[in-house]
Amino acid sequence: MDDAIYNKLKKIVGPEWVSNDPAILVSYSRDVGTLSTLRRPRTPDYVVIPSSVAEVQETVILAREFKIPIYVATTGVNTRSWHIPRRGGILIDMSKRMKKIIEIDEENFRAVVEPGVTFAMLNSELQKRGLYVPVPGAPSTVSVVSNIICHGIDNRGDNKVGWNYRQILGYEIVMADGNIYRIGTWSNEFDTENSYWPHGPGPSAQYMSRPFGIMGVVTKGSVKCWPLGTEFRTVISYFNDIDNVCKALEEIAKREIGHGLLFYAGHKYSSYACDAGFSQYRVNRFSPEFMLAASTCGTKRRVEYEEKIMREIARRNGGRFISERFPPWRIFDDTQIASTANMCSWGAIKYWGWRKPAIGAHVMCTMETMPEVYKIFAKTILEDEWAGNPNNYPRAEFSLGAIAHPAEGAHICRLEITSEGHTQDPVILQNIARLDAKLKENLRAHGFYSSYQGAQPLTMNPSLVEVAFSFRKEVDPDDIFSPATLFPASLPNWGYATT
Amino acid sequence: MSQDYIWPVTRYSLEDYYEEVWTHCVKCKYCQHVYLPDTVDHRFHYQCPSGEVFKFEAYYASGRNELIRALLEGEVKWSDRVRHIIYTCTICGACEAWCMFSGRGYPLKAIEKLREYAVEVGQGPLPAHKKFAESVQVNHNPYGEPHQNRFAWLPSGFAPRDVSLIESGVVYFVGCTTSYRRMEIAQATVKVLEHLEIPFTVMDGEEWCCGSPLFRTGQVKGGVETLAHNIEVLRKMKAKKLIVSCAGCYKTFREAPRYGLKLPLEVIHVTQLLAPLIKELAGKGKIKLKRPIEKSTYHDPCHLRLFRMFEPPREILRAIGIDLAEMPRNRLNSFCCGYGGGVRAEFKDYALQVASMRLEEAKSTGANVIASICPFCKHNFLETAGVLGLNMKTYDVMELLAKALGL
Ligand code: SF4
Ligand code: SF4
Repeated sequence: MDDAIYNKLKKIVGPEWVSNDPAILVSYSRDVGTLSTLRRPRTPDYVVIPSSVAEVQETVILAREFKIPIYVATTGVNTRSWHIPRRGGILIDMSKRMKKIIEIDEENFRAVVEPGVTFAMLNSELQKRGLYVPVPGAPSTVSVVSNIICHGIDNRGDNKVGWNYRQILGYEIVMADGNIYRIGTWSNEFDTENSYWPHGPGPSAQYMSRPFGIMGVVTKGSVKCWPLGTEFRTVISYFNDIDNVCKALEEIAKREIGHGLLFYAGHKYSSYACDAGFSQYRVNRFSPEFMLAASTCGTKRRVEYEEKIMREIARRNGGRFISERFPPWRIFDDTQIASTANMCSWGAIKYWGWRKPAIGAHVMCTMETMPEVYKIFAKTILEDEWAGNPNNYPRAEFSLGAIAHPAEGAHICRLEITSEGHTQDPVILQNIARLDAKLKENLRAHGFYSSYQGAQPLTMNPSLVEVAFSFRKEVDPDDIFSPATLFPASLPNWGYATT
Repeated sequence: MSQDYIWPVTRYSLEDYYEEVWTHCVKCKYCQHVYLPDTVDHRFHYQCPSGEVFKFEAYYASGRNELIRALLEGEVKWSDRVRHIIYTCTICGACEAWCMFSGRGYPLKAIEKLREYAVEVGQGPLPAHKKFAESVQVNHNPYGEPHQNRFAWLPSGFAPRDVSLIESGVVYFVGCTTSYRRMEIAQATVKVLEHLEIPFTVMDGEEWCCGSPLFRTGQVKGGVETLAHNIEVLRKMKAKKLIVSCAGCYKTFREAPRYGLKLPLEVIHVTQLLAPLIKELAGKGKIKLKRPIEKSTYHDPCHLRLFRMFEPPREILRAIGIDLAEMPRNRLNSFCCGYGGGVRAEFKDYALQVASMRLEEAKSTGANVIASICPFCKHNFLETAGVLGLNMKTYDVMELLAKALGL
């Protein structure tokens, strides 16, 4: 159907690269966030696939002229539904025609990429030069630029390279008023060599995204690259109780070794191994409940040293090494877990379990209090009249799970606790919503808080958020980039992270 | 109850796939890329031909999945665009190879089922596909060629034998494309088999189209009819082993049980039969092999990729001394030639565009020969190289082997 906006978009990107056909639009209507929360799919009114900054700029100016919402999508998983339209509008798909690796600056350890460049693409080229960019808890199908902006799933590159937002050296952004805004590497055209501070001038780039709205479309990003080790090693050990696995994790973290370090509980690992609920149930029943994965990379000497220490600590705390003796467990070497080595999910193939998230929370707690948080979670589920009765969930809908990542010099830990279940059964859904609220209440009663996004409380300074907000108001008075709250209050906060 | 969540490939209704889309398709986009750690060149990281050409999400498996949902829910009505999305999939199956590990879905089977559904509700197939279905009915091949010419390529002096007299019971199923379009492959195959004194026979006038073009375009009823005829004839012949030259025939025969047809014999590609033999005979000095060309790259046909059939053709190429330069996307990561799924018949420019993408990759290896073991792939590459004026020769592995044997 032709209309004024459609015709103008055709002129901007060319008729081939714009569509308002429902058959095209539906493919942008859902992501894993809509899937896990059963929100109804929602489509944009138009999709455009630009090939240049100028086309993005013109599209944004057009949206502003007509005061219609604009959404930005790249590739890979979108777990938070940020690009799922709240009420129609234009969706800009940045992943298809803006996918150039503009520069790999080996000397200065940085790469400049367009938003369509995925981690797999960039790492394939960097590896040839002995470099890599860490993949923050996501499959390598995701866009480097948008993943870093959105803080990935666990908010960190890895243990050694630090938080995700530190991996960016500069953005080029088309703001809602159509102006181009450059920060970090490109902020000072007379001093590009030295502008490696990514957070200015102006409001920091890390406040450019998230649920309270975006400020513009990133058209280029400059990212940090790290030297690639010659050796990789992942040590996987298994534990039967939460106290011991937490102690082992804490000790390793406090020795400051390992690139990737986490423990998985319950379905968080069994779901990677099983294709179906009942087989997962079996794996859960007959397997140790907790799995500690510690991985490292570097020179041969360093890796051997770190591996030795990791093994010692795991063993001392009651960890068992099943994987070497029991080959099926090697399956995890192909998953996210092994990928906690700094190459992170580059090597991950089975990224998703067959189940989808249900009750969950992200808790930032001290390393010592991890077991307490997990026990509150377990108690919430197991003592519940409905969820505590296995007959109500014969397919083990509520298997417990957790992932813990130490952070900030191992003072604190980000603990993600989730149960998983089938998302289409209305009885289960009702109970998930009820238990989700109950979990948060129980956590609060013990002084813990579930944050919507893991590292947010740490990395977000309230006064800077204020600055970002007022800046956004200035450049986007009509709110074209954030037309409504994404998660209406009536829906539970699923507490799940983004990629 | 728990059985609900096993997802065997035998569950086979569009509603099943609908549920799968709702609960499994996490939009992880594994279906768009090669196996991630195998990304060796950023230019060749993608694997879905239709998505790469038409670019909107709708043209990838994840989008087609969503189309199934929207069609069944009535959110989207049938239109030319819907048919375009459905029929531009080359049925290459790259998506499914990776989705099985990720969302644990079966997007290839879902799209095949969607085509079947389109035919059921009178919205498919497309005109060119209808035409070849009519031709299969009349001529037993999709090309409108007279059936009596099917074996016109046979070297003089060759007469089909009685398979029951052949101990190994080998029957060579030539296939329509090899018989009518790429006869040189059939001739090379027969010459090699004869030269190596491998007793075999052909089905002669009883060989009909295997049904692949019909199955791939959703015309399952016609597909089952012609496939059932072939299987019945083979059963009567008491054949024990079927050798094929074509990846499409291979997939179709191997998948016969999915359509309720019992397969009374083993189906293999001719290179699977020959690879061990060539190595053995050459090792014992019983055959002399002369390298026919210096260097070649090898293209894995999609329908063989589905069955993880990668090594025999490579073994033959190596045995005859060819320097094999692998493309960045090989084996499971291979990229489609663009011919399949009824695409070439209806969208020729698009088919040639996909082939040109693959040829660009072939060129990046430094070879100027691309070898394969499927007449469709060869045909599409040949024509594309001709249209673009590329210095890229295309051979079937059997042709190279025949040359190496001096035939
Ligand atoms: S790989 Fe499977 S689950 Fe993932 S987006 Fe593709 S079709 Fe969906
Ligand atoms: S079968 Fe091939 S063309 Fe079709 S959706 Fe899958 S990858 Fe794309």
